[in-house]
Amino acid sequence: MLELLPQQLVNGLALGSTYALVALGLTLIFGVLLIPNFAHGEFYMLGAFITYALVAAGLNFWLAMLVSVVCIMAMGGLVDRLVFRPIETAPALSLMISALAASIILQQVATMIWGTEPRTIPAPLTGVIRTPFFAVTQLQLVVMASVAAAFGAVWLVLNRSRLGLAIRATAQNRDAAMLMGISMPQVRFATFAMGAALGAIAGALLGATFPIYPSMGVNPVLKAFVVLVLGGIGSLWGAIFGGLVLGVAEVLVAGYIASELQDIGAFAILVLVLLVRPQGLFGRAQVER
Amino acid sequence: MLTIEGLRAGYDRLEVLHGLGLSVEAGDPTVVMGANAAGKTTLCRVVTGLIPARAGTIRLDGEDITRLSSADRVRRGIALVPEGRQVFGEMTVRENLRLGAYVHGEPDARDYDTAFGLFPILLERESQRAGLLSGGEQQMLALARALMSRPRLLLLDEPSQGLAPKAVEQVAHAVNRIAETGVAILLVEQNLALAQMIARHAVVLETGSCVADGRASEIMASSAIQDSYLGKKRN
Ligand SMILES: Nc1ncnc2c1ncn2[C@@H]1O[C@H](COP(=O)(O)OP(=O)(O)O)[C@@H](O)[C@H]1O
Ligand SMILES: [Mg+2]
Repeated sequence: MLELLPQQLVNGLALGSTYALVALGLTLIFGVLLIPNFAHGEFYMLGAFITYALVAAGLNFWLAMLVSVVCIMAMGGLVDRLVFRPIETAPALSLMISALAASIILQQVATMIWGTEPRTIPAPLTGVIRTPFFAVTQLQLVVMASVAAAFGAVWLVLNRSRLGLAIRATAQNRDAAMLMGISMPQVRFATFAMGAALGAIAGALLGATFPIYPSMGVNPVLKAFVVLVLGGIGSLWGAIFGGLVLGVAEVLVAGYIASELQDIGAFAILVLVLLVRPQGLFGRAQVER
Repeated sequence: MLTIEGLRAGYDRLEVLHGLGLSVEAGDPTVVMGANAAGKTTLCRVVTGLIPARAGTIRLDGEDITRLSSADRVRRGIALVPEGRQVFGEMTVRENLRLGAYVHGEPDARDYDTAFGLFPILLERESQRAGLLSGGEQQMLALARALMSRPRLLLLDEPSQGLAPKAVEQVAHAVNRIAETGVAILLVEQNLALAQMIARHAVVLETGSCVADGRASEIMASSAIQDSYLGKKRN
């Protein structure tokens, strides 16, 4: 049994990387704008489908993914404009219902275009790297590397650019940010575009490994919400770490206990974290001054 | 400088300001007094564009700014030191100041010199997180941050709140120096001592309407203030 552990860990990290990538976009949008964007799963799904359509039209996979990401960034801005901005001052419940509506509408649109039958994107990389202890596919490595790259890019934008300064200020105190003359439409667009791009990257990469279908975004987004709670809501490090922990935990539970218990394992960890550290692994407890 | 006429504003079904009028000139620092819930903070929020006006006009040097975004108002020279300071607690003092100058791109050395000249303590704390400053220091930071946008009209919402008398005096001193440079001042304050140190012109707000308007010394001495406003405060 134990000799399988390195392989399990690699598989867990690969799975966790995709959770992390989805969670990163979700936590960005929630952390800055306090919007629980259930439609994030559809950014992921459409990222996969647009890549699929472009590859089917003969485009190189990586180029197709790039075009798809740009399209989904624009769509992210559009979703914010149409779905969330009109109810900017509404209570959280309205935002949540609006988000669910957007999610359903986008799924239906995808179903109208592509139908419900699962499709596959031809994998751009098929190699496997074998070591004495485990094997890892090139695609898994790309997924893991892209999480690191995406995290680095988001970190740079947030901490090294003027736009990032505005986004961080908005996340901390929206009214005060407005008083500094920061343009809210601009911050919202940038935040949604970045978040959506992360979702689209995850979707395209996953689409190269697993079948894609219009409701494929539902499960990952629920998992991503678990990751947010695990890692601490609004924390980028938390999204990465929480995603990896969740992925490894699921694979270990499935491997060593029973595969039917995979999701129970994830939620058991969630409950445990909530009991011990309600603010999440990387969250800071709220302090009133 | 600032002229407000027939201003109505509120939240959802609650109307807080019922047709308010007042004006503020540079060289004539104005204090708005009024009991809790009179609508003073709401007034600051409408003037800076954080909430919309439902009726009436707000003019800055004759230009109608009633429908402008808050960013456009900052660009035209309106800055607010908000109630409760609202500094960016997770950011350093320097980052807070940098954000204050956001509409100008990056602040230049002169902007920092002005801020640190008024409040040397901020220079010492420059790379500390703003959330770790004392209440008085946070108030100074909020004021310095507002100055970074090079305002022509500075609004201050109860800057004395929660401050020790020594810190209140420092704030008054700083505001007076800012006023001397030609910046128009609109101070919202319940602390009569601070109001007296700064204001020449006073307006009294009662449940969203202006009930007295005149020279600060006369208004503060009048029996109306002594009875209704101070009386209420004592309860
Ligand atoms: N965000 C808000 N939502 C709803 N009502 C509010 C809000 N802020 C203030 N109010 C109400 O508006 C009235 C005026 O409040 P405010 O302008 O803060 O008064 P002041 O600053 O003079 O104490 C109060 O009755 C208060 O309860
Ligand atoms: Mg107030």
